[in-house]
Amino acid sequence: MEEEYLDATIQMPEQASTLAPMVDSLYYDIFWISVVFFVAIVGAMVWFAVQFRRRPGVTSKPPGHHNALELFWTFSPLILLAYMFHEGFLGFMHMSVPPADSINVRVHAKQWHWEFEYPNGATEAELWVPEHQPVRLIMGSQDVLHSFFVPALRVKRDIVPGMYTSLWFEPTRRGVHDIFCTEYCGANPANDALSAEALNVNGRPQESAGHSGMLSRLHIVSRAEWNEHVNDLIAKPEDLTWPQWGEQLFGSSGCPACHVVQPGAAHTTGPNLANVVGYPQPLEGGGEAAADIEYMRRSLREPQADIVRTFTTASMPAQTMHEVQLDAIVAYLASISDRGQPVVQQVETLHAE
Amino acid sequence: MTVKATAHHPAAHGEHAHSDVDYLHEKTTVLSWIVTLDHKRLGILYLASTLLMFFIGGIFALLVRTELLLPGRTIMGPHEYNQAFSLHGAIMVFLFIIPSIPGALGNFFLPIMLGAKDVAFPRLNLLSYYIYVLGAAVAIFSLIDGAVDTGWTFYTPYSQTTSASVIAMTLAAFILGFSSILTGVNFIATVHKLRAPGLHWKRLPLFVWGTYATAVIQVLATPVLAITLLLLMMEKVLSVGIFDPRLGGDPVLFQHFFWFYSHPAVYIMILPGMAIVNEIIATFSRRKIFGYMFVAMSSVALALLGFLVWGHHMFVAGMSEYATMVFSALTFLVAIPSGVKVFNWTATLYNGSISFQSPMLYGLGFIVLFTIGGLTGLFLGTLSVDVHLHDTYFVVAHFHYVMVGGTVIGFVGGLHYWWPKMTGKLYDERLAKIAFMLVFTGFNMTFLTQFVLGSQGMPRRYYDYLDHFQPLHGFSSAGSYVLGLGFMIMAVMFAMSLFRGKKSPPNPWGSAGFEWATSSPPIMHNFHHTPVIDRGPYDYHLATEEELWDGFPEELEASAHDAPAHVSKLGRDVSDEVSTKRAVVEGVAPSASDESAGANEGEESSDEGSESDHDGDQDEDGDDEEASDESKKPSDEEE
Repeated sequence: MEEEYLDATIQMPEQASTLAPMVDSLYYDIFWISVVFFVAIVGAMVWFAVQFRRRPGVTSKPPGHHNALELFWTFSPLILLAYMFHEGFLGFMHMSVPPADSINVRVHAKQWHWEFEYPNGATEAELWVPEHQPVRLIMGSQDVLHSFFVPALRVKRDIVPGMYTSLWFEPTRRGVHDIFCTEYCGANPANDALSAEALNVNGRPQESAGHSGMLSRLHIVSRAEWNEHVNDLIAKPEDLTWPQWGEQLFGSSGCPACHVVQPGAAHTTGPNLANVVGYPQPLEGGGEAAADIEYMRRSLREPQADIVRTFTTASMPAQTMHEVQLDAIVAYLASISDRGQPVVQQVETLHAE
Repeated sequence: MTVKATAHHPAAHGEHAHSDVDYLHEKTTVLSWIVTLDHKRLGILYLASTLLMFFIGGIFALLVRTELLLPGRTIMGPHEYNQAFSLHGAIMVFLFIIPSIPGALGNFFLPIMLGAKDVAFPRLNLLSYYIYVLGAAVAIFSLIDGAVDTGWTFYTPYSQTTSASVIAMTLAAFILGFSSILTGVNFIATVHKLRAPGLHWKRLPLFVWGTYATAVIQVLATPVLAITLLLLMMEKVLSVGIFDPRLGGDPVLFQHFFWFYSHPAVYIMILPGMAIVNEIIATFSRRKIFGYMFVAMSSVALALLGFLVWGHHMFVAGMSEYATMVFSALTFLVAIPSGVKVFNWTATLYNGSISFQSPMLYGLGFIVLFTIGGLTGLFLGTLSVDVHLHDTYFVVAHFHYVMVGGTVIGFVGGLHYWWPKMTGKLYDERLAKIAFMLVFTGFNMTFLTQFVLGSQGMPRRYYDYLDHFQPLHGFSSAGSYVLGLGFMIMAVMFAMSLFRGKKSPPNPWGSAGFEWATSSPPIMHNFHHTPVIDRGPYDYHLATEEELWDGFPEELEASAHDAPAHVSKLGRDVSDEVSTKRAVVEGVAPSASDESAGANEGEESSDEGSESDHDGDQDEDGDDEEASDESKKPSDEEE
């Protein structure tokens, strides 16, 4: 079974889904058809050019009428074209219809971050899938166009704000593959000032680089590993406190791209989040909000509901994570406020059992 | 073709007694240039403007490639990079490729090839140029105003959220569209109404066919762009919800609108390039283009099919599967007329008499590069394979093979081919060949590499990339420097030609094309008298030795008289033909005025000659074009 799926070649990355061999075999068919045509055309061109180079005493001969030849090369390529079209369409339809036993994973794309939501409600920034299990991605964008692309799977689909798009694949090989965004989605002008080290860490472009930094990884694992991983996501690791776990999630959810957490530091795109919990927040449009647990949860779920005054230019994406993960982040934000201790305790007692 | 006198010739001659002066010297004030109604001068103005834009767009291209030389930050930040590639695309497409061939070479040669004095509406032509200048000025303003970072496609909703200069740039594209439409209208009218007597549609030069097909697309498709960009501006300024989902709009609708223009625009770009290649291949093979009517009709077919395939830019954009099916099938049909052209060009070489002067190198280079560009289109038209390749470097490489390997190589080939006619100067053939080799090599280094990058999964419009893509990116960037060097040498070569090039004879390549029948540079009214066309532009077997003479008219005359047993370049004893021909022409007034023109040219050529004597470098290959019996030898050496 495994032998069918090839390693990377000069032209193609490795094959990690059932769709890959299908796409590649058509790709190579077209490749060899193209090579034959290219060699025939350029070969004839070079041969004629040498054979009929200008020589003294030799004149050109005017061409006659060759309707049969013209009709031959006008219509005979249709056979090859029909073959390519037909195979391509069959493959495309196969890619468009997910098998009935697919599991659904929601994909939330936002500038410049991926979020994957599993059937149990847990979310994370990298996608884990069980091998030999058809997976259907139901994708939405919160801001501009994005496109989900995994070269090793040979799948790609644009993600369009205001509608859902979907794709499916059946992963076949365990391993880690890159996920790219292939629909141009811009960059933050402010990040031009960042150092080279901040834009690219260990050879991986960061989210602060904009479109090209909207990178993630696909982990193809065994079903047992996948089950364990997905359940772990919504259980606080035993060796961590709630604020510690929240700090991890804060980092992996892409929050630091817009928020600083050093007390007194100048804010970036979004507010400085140190010393927020427990302090009254001035709201856009007047009034204040007490930054209690409910306000914090709501600010994560519906960031546009109560905007802190002056932060109207950039819109924060709504956080779709599991409520346990959400509370952990609230606990973390409370822990970096000198008036946040009651909220930390509230979270701890809430999830005590 | 015969430049025969028409019946009412003597009167006409009286009216244009001053018209022996070429168009460059008719009037030389600045004002005479900026308000000129002459299609040739407007062609030169377009040429200078579009070449300037090509230079600016090229600088952005080199900045982009330099940033991509190494992973991580190389010379600029991510937003600056996004601006650089957006400006590269927008400037190259809207300000260079679309106006370059129709505006510069089309304006200059379409009327001459038709035997007309000018285009049908000279004032409209001038207006079209100034609309272009206005559009360019707005585009430059947008650049200073805080350049666009949307890509040249202005996809919504990103273009609605980013900086305000999107309005300036789309306004520029909107304005430039009108310039394009006016040029198109003008060309259609000119081709229909101003053909010389005897120039029926089956004798039309293929350059005219191609430009005509282009004009039809310009007139029909460009208004859609105007509407689209206007809607975009309305949404951005007035918040009318059309494309932005937050206002109830549909982003995919923008893509449909945009590509409904921009796919036909691809044919606005490539058809004129193909049109030039027809002329080059015919001239340097001394043979009529094989399957002339099939080639002419394939241009029309491409123009029409071009309107039906816009959806192939959107196979993964969230369209109905059945719509993708239709668009994929129609897209494959484009391969048919494209293939017909390539097959016929190749067949034209068969039984030809082929010389390898610089324009022909570009002509043959075009066939190679366009074949690659066309064949790689098959991968992208195939639905399931396109899913993998869409929006990767494979697409970037594919359209650069068509747009640069096709259109730009065709344009540059046409510039080499017609340069002696436009400027009246010869250029250094050896430098031209060096530049060609660098351009051809550099281009392939840059873009052949990108096919592999793309099929390996490297997405386009990326500021930064994963380490394992670096070797290919590095090689591609190195290629772009070779390409840039080639264009720089070419620029130097043309500049040298302008300032110290030898005077060109009327027909340096020995072409049977109509435009070579007038002097180099052409006189103000192109021909002394409306020519009467009695053969096709590629009928080398019907053309007289005099028409194919690649020297100065007075030398032909001298050799015809002094050497009775004159042997032509074609190896035949043509003394009879020449004298017969001269007998035909004898007694009619054009030959009289030709002689006076010849005397005039003679004076100039002696001036030029004394200058170029100092320039030993040019002589070896210069012989190629020089008016002498030896002109056949250099092409043998090149083998």
